[in-house]
Amino acid sequence: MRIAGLLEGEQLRNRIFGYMCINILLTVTLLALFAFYAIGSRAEEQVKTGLKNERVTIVTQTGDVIFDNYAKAEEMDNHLNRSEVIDAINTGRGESKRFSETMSQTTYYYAMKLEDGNILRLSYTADHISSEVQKFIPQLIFAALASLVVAFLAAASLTKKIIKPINNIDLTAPEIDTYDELSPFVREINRQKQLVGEYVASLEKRANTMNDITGNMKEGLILTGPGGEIIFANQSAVKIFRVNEMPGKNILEVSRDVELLHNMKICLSGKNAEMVFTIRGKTYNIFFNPVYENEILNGAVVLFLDITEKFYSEKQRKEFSANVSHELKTPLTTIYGLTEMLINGIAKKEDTKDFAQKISAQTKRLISIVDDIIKLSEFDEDSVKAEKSVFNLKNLAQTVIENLKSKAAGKNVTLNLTGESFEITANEHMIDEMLFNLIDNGINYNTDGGSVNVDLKQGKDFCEIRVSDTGIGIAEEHLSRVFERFYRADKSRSKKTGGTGLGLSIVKHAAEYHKGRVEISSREKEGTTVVCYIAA
Amino acid sequence: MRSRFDEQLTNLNNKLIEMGAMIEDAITKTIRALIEQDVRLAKSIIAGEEEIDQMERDIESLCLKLLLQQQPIAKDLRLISSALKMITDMERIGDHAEDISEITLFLAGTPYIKELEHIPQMAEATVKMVKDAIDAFVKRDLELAYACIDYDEVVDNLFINVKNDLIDLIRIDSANGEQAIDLLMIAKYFERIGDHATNIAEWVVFSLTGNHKRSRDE
Repeated sequence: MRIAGLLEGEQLRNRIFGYMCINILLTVTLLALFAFYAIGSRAEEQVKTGLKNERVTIVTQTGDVIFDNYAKAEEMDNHLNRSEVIDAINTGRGESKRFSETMSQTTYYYAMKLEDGNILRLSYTADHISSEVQKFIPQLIFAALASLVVAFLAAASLTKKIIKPINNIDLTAPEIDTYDELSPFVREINRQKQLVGEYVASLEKRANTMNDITGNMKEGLILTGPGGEIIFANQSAVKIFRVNEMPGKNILEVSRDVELLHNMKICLSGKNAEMVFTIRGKTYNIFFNPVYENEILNGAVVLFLDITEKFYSEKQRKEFSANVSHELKTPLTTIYGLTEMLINGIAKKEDTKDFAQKISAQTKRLISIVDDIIKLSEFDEDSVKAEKSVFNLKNLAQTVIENLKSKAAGKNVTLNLTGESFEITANEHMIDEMLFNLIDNGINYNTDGGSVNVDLKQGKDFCEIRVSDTGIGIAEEHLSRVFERFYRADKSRSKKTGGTGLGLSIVKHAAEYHKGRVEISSREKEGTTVVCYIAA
Repeated sequence: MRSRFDEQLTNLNNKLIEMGAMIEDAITKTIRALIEQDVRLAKSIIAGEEEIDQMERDIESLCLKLLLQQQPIAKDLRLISSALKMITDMERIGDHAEDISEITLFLAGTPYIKELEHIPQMAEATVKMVKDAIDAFVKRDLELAYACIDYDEVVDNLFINVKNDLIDLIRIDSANGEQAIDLLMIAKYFERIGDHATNIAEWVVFSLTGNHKRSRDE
């Protein structure tokens, strides 16, 4: 098809052919002109110089030369054997021509019989054409060179003229009408261009689809080549590592975590791997999967699942159960020891009462721990939901204070209640627990002669329960952790006071249930203030 | 088409990062073992030193091979020659991690006289330096390299704090002397790690600019 196309149009061929013809014609014309000029000028020269070359000889009838204008007559041969002389003697006139190869010259003779019987011979020697030509060689060379230069210049300009439209073709959008011969190429280029455009568009579409799909993924996704070089990374992966332009970089440049790199190596050797990875406070479960193409390992797919919440709640749960068992075990061990002594009769009779008291105290402690745990788990399960009622907060606080008055008196701590009297809509049981725990803590961690002040305030969005004591306070490093379950600032002291380590946890829980928050501030040896905000 | 030389250079680059990751891991664990008096962790660090040494030898032979076979010039030559120097510093950091862990093992039986205060700070500062130096290499980040070089002063100051702490401890009770000396050694090793991190950062500067400069002002 292409060859046919080439033969179809003859625009270019005709043009080149035409230009070549013109060029040759020009050269030939130039040479011819010069030759004409040269020969013409030579002929003219000859006319101008006249008969300078003519030789005149007078020969007697016997053939002896009596005059010659070129040579000495007496030295010349007898001329009776020359044909023109013989003819002249016989007929009155004669002519002949002789060619001398050595001189490459032709001599023309003409003889006529004079009235005195002597013969007058005129001769003219002409050079042969080749020797005539030889005389023009320098001029010819010059003429040839000149015509060459002219031809070269003409050819150059003509070539330029032919090539110009080709050079001017815009390859990104070639036009068909430049030369007929080129139109198949142009058509093909246009077709290919269109094809490439279509391919690029479809690839872009595919990449965009991939980006759209993976971009909305919460999980991080990284695809790597067999050497660990990243081919693709989605938005989440970029966010995890905070490394821009990940594709093209090696996984090593993204993270230098030894375990991650180790698992990557395992994966790139063809095995699946999995790990838990923590970065900037977030915990991820990473899955490494090798990718095979035609049974040849060709890279890896790495998937990051955010398990931060799960990881921490799991961690908390583990800590909680460890703490619970520990907290329960301590009083149980004491009870077990004391009962063993009683059973084996090691204890003296008078100590029996003391032992029983100790067992009772430890049992009480166990009950309060179990109570607190039950409360917390109730709060956790939100089983107390919907039990909201309207009640007077000050009245409730008063009741709690009444209940704790005897305990406070035993420690020589005074309890004060100040603030407005107002009603709130809340879960009474939870608020009761909250107040009890806060005031109880205020008593437990107080000094002799100290006080616990409860102040109530009704705000626009929140109502405020402020419980401050003049107690021993909490060191700054413990402040952020006191709301953790079973966390205690001073372990030895809380054992004495009988706290379960769950009190503030319950307070926090109750406040959060009421869409509120708890703030704590404390100075060691000066006292602690806890403020609970509860949505009004 | 990627030439074999380019491939080898990428390989060298990756191996250097890998070795960097190894020493970062080693000193991070060293601190944990020291503070928590974790004997098992300390032992694993000492065992891991062999791997770092092996890595150094691997990279060294790769560098020599590249120098011999490819006769690199300009930037490539600078990368390879600084790689040769960097691995020496990295290996020394690995050695110091091992040294500290050995003292940790020795101290493991007895509780610390006073809760460690400035040593963990110092350790954190040196880890930051090592991380920054290797990050500067990975990201080809000149500014970070200079920042790392400047940060050495912080570590040096912390070392003086540690020294003063320990002098006070000995003054209070001369029986504290033995542990104080061990802790001083640990602090000195951390200080040396800081110096080696500075060296690494300087080699990063050299490989990027072709100049040996201790700071950007010079």
